[in-house]
Amino acid sequence: MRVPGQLYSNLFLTTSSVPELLVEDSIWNEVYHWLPKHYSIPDLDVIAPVLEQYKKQTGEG
Amino acid sequence: MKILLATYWEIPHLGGVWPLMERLAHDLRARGHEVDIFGNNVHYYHLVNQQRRFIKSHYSPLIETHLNHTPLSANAVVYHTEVDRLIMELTASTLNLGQYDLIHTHDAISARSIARVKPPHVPLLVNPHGSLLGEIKLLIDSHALPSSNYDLLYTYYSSLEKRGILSANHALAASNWLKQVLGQDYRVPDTHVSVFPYGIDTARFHAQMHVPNEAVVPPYKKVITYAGRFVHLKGIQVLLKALSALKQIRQDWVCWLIGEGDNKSEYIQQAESLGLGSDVVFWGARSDVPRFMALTDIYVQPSLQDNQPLSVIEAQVAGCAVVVSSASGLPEMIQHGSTGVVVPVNDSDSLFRHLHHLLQYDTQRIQMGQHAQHVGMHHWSLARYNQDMFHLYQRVTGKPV
Repeated sequence: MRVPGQLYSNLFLTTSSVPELLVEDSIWNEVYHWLPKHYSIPDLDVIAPVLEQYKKQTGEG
Repeated sequence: MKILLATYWEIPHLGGVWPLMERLAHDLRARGHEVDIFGNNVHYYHLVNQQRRFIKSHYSPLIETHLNHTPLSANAVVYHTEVDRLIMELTASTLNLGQYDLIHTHDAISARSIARVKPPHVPLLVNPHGSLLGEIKLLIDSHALPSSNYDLLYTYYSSLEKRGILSANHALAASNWLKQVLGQDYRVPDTHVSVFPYGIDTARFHAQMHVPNEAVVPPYKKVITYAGRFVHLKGIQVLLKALSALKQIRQDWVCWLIGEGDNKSEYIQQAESLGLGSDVVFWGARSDVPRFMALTDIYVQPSLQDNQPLSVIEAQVAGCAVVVSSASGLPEMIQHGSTGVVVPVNDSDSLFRHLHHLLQYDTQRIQMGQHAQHVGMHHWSLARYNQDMFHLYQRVTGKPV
């Protein structure tokens, strides 16, 4: 069944650019069931240096 | 034990990490262990042995709507790699990773992904087969990447590889060079990385050497061979330049190039423009490399960067005289002057001179190959490799293998 992707927004640290997006609930419910409690997207440990560099390059946050 | 072998790279594949994973799985099953293999494909991730597929398009739209307005999208390679890697995390999590006694990943990217979603009690071994950052550096230098922001790309892969290696309980490298690189680039402690070389099934390889194919050595010619990917970092362009010089003084050779890759058409053009049209044969990707090695006199690995290529191992086991560049882990594979020759990296003149010498002195070339074979039969043996690997598994899991 297609449901709003927003139902799974607590997996993400960023907002959605398409809040009305529909996703398959069987897929995302299974993922949600197995993921560790404190799991989140993006992987901040990996992308922190990328964000820092981008900030230096553009002056943006 | 129940073991998961995993990789971010696409599998199955004719070369690369796949044959190693497949053989390891086979040997572990032969000892009574259960093994699953998880890996990548363009359209899905899959548990190869169970033919269970996780279609990427089921996961990517929701991830992308949360990342496409972030700075990650400033670089297409970074963005798409990160989305793909996150899909690996989500799909891997549904494998019930708590059921495994050990997860053995074959690259730093999958190690990072699995580390983020596995239960803490499941040990994770990361087994990079090369330097990801080193390859990215070479790709950037050769302008092979469609990116306008190389700094972001470099920072991303550096961070990803570092986190992948350090997220695991232990790391395994096939060469001391790779261990050194991990220590230098990421300050990975010495105690975090074990080193032992690859191994191959030498008996099977020797049997395959005797299976005929359509390759025929032209009369009065000796065969110089390269087998592997046709990409910039393998240095085929250096070999072709050396062959151009060689042709000026002798024509008693033919060069067989076996493999495929993004640069193949460039190398075909280079060979033609150097006047090597009929002297160089492009065989394409082949599953009968052992037969080609059986017919080879001199095997050349001219790489700009390489960890421990299977083709050099195969050439030694086949009894070929081997010439490698001094890049990365290659010199560790050769006792210079005894089991082969090491030439300076990216030095076509030196390569030309050594090829000329080996073609000139038959006895020396043949003895070199025989000695390489004698040493290689133990050094590269599958029995030795498995013994080292099972010992490491036992150390990481605390369970008998």
